[in-house]
Amino acid sequence: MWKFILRRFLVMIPQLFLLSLIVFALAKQMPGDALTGISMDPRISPERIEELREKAGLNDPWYEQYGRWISGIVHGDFGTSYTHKIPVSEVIAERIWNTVFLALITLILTYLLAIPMGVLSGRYNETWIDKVVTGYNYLGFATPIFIFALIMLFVFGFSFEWFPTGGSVSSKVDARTFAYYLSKFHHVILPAFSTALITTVGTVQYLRNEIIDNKFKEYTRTARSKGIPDNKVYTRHILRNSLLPIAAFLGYEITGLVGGTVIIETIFSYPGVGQLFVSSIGLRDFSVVTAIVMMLGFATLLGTLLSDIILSMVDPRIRIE
Amino acid sequence: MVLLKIEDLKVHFPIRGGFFRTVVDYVRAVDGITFELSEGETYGLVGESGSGKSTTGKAVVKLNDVTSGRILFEGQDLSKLSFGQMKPYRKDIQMIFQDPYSSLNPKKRVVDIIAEPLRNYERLSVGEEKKIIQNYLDKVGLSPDSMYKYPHEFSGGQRQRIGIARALTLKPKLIIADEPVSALDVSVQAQVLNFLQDLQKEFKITYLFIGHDLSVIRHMCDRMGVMYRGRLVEEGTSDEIYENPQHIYTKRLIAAIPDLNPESREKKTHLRKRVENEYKQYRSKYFDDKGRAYDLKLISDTHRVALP
Amino acid sequence: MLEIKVESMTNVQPVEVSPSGFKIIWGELKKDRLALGSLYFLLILLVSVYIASFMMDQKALARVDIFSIYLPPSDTNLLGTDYAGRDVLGQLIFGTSNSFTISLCITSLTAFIGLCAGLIAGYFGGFVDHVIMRVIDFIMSLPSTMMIIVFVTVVPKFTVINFIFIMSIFLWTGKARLIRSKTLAERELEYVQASQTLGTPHWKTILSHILPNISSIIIVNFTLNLAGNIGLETALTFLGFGLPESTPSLGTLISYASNPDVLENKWWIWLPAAAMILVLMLSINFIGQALKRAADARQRRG
Ligand SMILES: Nc1ncnc2c1ncn2[C@@H]1O[C@H](COP(=O)(O)OP(=O)(O)O)[C@@H](O)[C@H]1O
Ligand SMILES: [Mg+2]
Repeated sequence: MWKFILRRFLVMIPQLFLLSLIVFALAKQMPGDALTGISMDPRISPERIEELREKAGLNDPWYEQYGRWISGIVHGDFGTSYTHKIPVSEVIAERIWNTVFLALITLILTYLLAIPMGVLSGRYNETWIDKVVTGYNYLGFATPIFIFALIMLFVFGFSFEWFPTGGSVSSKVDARTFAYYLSKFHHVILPAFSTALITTVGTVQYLRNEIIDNKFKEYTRTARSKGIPDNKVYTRHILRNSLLPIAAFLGYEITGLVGGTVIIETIFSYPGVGQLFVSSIGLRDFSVVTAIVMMLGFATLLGTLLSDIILSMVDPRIRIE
Repeated sequence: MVLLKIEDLKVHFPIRGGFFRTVVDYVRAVDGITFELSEGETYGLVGESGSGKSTTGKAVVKLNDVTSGRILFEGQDLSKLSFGQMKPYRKDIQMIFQDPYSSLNPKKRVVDIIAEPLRNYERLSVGEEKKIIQNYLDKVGLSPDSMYKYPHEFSGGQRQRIGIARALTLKPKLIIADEPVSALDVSVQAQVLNFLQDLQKEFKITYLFIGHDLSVIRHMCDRMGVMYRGRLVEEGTSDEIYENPQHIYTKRLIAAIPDLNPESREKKTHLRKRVENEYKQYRSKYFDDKGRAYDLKLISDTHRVALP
Repeated sequence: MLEIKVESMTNVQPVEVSPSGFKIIWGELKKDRLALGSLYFLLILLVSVYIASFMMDQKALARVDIFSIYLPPSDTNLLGTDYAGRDVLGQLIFGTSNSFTISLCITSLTAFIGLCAGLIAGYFGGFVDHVIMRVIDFIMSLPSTMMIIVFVTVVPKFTVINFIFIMSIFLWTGKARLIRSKTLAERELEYVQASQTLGTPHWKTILSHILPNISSIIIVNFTLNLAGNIGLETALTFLGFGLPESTPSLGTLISYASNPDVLENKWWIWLPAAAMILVLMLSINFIGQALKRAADARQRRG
């Protein structure tokens, strides 16, 4: 077991290295560098700019530049934002908690929706309730998140005005008051719910199949024959056994959410990292873009790692490879 | 004349493990066996499941890589050839597979199945091809209208006949038959076996016949080798092995053959007990300290046994 | 990854298995009324959209008309006009045909790459397999949406062709994995070994033996991916990183809704496009799920 985890970690090192190389290469492709702003200035002579470039190391071979870049990242230094004029790490720090908060609420909602639906349709499979859940899954599987989110925003944000249509907190409340946290929650609920309603379908389907499988297993029959009431058999035994593999998908779930933040945050004008990413690309603020890709790439790798490890604990067959 | 000569053949499959998936050990599926087949004879390989019989047969047709040793077919060493270089020899060496269900592609019609080897080696017109296939279908006892049917429309025995027809089309000199009847109903087995023997007479084929059922092997083979854990423990004519087994493993194998005759059944039970006792007592005498069988030693002109 | 298995437990009667992949699939599809309806609907929709877009003048459609900005639906503009006074219905028709064509291209290209990689990895195994699988693992562990966006921004000359290639880089991996695992299973069957002993070269064994036996899985996967790619393409275009402006997509119409005023008050601009995407994806999915059930049922039957 430990060997597997260790090996899985070792696999991640070259992956991380490759990711950083790709991001670095992309960053080099992006128009402009740290001196682009200055070189527009007619008061500074081209010779002076060349001198500055030399001093900043922009004429060094790429691997030396890469070395400096990567060691900076390791120390938390992502460079300076060209639009915000402050270190990139600070720009991101302002947004990152919003994204984490949104992701967390989305995850919780996803499972809160998936468990009852999966359990009910698995337990009473082939009844009307199962048909409803299965039909919902059909629809959810075929609906792209951005359209669903847009419709949710249109209906509950603009038409009914139940929820705010942008931002992460109301400007009218003071920080660190109860009203402040309530407002944060109020802002996050619509984007989180819109995402969860769609992403939950995979988990629902999986849970349903697990429950149906477990229903006919030996231990279920034993429990029943001991006179344990049906409800208890489901909550104590079947659900517990079926939840284990679901938990294993947590990491992949996170990976999926990372991809989704870009779209969801843009639609709901929610000031998180995903929206920062899109707006930074629009503003050509590439040091911010690079940092975000690197960071979320790392998060994705970690998510996959997490799931691989949990899965290998749940199902030893996966460990080969 | 010797057609196929196998010299100290070894086939080892690597087992990978540890940190970097390096090779930690080997499955010694075939671990140094030597035997030869004369033209026109049927040579049997017997042994329990997992003893390395199929691996030996597959090594000859390059379905497995050879670790060491030589496979001489008409004097030419096949063991070093690449998959591509092997092509001309495949015409002469064909294989009949164990499972008549998975050895025929379910998506192909019988005509395409049987014509596959022909299309690889010869340029024939559709008419010529059809005539040849009809001829072989006739030989294996299938009606001409089977041509445009799919495998699932046939029984196990009929499917095995299709497999045999496919192996015959290139007029091979050697056919490796890997348990060709063990997946068939007992009632069909004898039919297919006799049929294989008829073909041998007609086309002068040499068989390497692999099986785990000693009575089938005895019925089919002139000579046989007994395999145990990748090694030959005894080799001789079918009668020698059957009437006068020398190695304890061969004795056990023979004692394990079920007896259908009620009168001798008691005798058989008796024999089985005796062999079992002998096996327990003298086991170590027949194998070296690693549990590996010794090299074969001649005890008569044709009879070789693995003794210290 | 989560495998979505939507299947009902209804018993399937053993049907005579006729071995042509398409025939079986058609036979199964005919029994599923929802899927069959979706198929007919999709065919009619696409044929009319393509014919209409062929007959319409794209230049006239793109002409800005400042006197008819944001007109609500009327007799002349059945679905109103957008911020530049262009006819929404016309854009909807062009967008549908563009979005569908491009998704089809992406799906075909990824199917081709995935098929090659999966077949080679699964059939030859060993070192080749190892290398291909490591590449796949790596690409799958990248944040693909973001990577596509960055690629789209840095590529020197952004065209539809480039867009298709960029999308395909990140979308072939799942397919390759699926096909590899099916090929691995198929390779163990004796008919593959038989084919090798008959003097058939490897490429021919792969193409003429293995490929037909995994064809139904390929078709199912293709259909489901096609639906998914329509969603992905329109989402990226919606964000502004998809099809270039010269090639309007359904996502372009929806992206006008990033203006809250359009989203709230001018539903005729974005809602029809959103509905069109939903309808396209749903009907393709219904077909795909029915095909999947058919393939699964056939596998159960053996
Ligand atoms: N491709 C392979 N990789 C690893 N081990 C194998 C492979 N093929 C066969 N073996 C092993 O080699 C041994 C001999 O197998 P086989 O030749 O099929 O036996 P038999 O045909 O006598 O039943 C078995 O232990 C089997 O597990
Ligand atoms: Mg065998």
